[in-house]
Amino acid sequence: METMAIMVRVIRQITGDKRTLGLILVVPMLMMTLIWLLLGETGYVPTLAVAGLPIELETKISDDGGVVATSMSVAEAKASVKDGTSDAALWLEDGKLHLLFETSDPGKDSLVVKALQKAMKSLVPAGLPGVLSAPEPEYLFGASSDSSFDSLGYVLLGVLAFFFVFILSGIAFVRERTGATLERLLASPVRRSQVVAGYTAGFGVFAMIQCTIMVVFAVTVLGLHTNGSLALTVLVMVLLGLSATAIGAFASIFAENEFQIMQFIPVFIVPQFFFSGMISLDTIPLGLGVLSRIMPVYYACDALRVVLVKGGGFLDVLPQVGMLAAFVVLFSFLNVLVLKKHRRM
Amino acid sequence: MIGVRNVFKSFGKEQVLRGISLDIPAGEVYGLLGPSGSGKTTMVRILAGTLAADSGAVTLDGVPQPNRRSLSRIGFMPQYDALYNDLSGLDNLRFFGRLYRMDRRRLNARIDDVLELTGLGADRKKRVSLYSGGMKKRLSLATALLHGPDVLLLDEPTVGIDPVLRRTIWEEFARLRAEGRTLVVTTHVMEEADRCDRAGLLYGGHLIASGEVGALKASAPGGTLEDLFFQAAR
Repeated sequence: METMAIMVRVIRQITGDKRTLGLILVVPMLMMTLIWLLLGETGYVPTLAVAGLPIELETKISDDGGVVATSMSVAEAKASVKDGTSDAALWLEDGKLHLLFETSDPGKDSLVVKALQKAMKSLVPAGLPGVLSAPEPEYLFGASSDSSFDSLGYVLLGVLAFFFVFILSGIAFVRERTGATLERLLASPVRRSQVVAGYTAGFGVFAMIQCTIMVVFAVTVLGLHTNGSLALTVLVMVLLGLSATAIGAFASIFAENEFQIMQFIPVFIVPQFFFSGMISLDTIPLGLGVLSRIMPVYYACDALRVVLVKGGGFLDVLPQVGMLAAFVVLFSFLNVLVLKKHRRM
Repeated sequence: MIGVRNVFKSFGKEQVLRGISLDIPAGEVYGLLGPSGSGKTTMVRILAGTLAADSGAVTLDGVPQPNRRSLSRIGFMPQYDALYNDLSGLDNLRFFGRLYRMDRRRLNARIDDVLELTGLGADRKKRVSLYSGGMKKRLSLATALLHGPDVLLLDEPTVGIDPVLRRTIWEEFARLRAEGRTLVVTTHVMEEADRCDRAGLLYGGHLIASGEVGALKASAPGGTLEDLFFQAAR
């Protein structure tokens, strides 16, 4: 009952404040739209050098208008990528399609890949001669990071969800401490665990609403491509939101006012963004990639990738979901312990 | 009823309480008097169980504190208004009432009672951030009285309250005492000590005197409680 009372109070406080409500519900959508605009359709038409393609495919690629295709020899095509006159080269060699980019450029590369996929897909019913499979992109410089909105979308979902809930929870707890209401709360017969559970539940409700809105918005409005279950996506996001609640509350111990919570952004949020899988962890030097193992956003993004990109089921993301749950439990436990400072029992 | 035995408390290097022992009998108004910085608030927080003493013991009817069951018998009004500014006065009361496991009917009846007593009935739906300082103080008192506790720990309950309301509030204290409740009230206003049955005088973390207010005055060289502080200061 006490847990319930605290939960209801937290919800009332949030719904009573239009600014906070907007931060939770509207701002994530706004930011996702912005990033979608930055990474998504631009109207840019990349140039593609083609060599030795079956005539049907070449015509199709040219006619669709997604790219400007120029026919030349294989050597010329490769050279044109190198000197920058073409954004990409596509040729047929040993019965296989090859696709070459100069370097990984999220915007241009995805446009080329999309145009090629579209052309190949439309040719499937006609029976493409030689049965070609989609090429694995090759790069003159650098490795593939494959970072269009489709492949970055899940990282954004995770990072944004964590970010907003962390800030709100941290600030709410700092206010509770500095406003002495926490002390007043602990003068009542409430259990310390009920205080933490009430807070987690209250923010959990908003995390759930926020995550559902974000996922549905990303998929339906922004057209984030997904192969997996939306319910599973929301589950992962909610667990991430709960861990952000618990970690935000924990961080508030080290903050004396709301502004100091903001100062924690570079400490608690930015590293998690870097280690979210946006940058390939295997390429991070000195084995620092293992740091990701202590970051909830990493597990959430990993799980979101498995679900959204690979279409994985519950069992596929069980390890990540388990780790997220472990973060929630660990930090909630720490928060209950910390309240001992105010009351020993 | 309330027993304090040899309580010490420091914040960092600063020793705030240096071996306080006192007894507060049931059904009386006990005034904890002293200048600011003398340790009154620290003492009350330790009594309320929201602050742990470094050493020493506090008991309520012989039960060592803090104890969760005892907490529901205590009403605590902290020095600074511990209220949720972004909620209405009514929502604040509802929230605290539910923490004390009050059922809906009793809670609603009690909310009406304490709002009437503190004169906040008309402002119950207003957000606390719009309350004046005195109104916040009254709401803070209302939350302490809400669950009908038999021990009330009130830290500077009448600071910032106008004289008329101050009188009403002291009349309410007298009524609560008549019901057999125990009140511990801190104040640095010596006139308020006259309304207490018993008083403890805190100075520099020591209890320099305690006992019935009349007897304390009689023992003072000039016949007032201030004289006892002047004596200690010398």
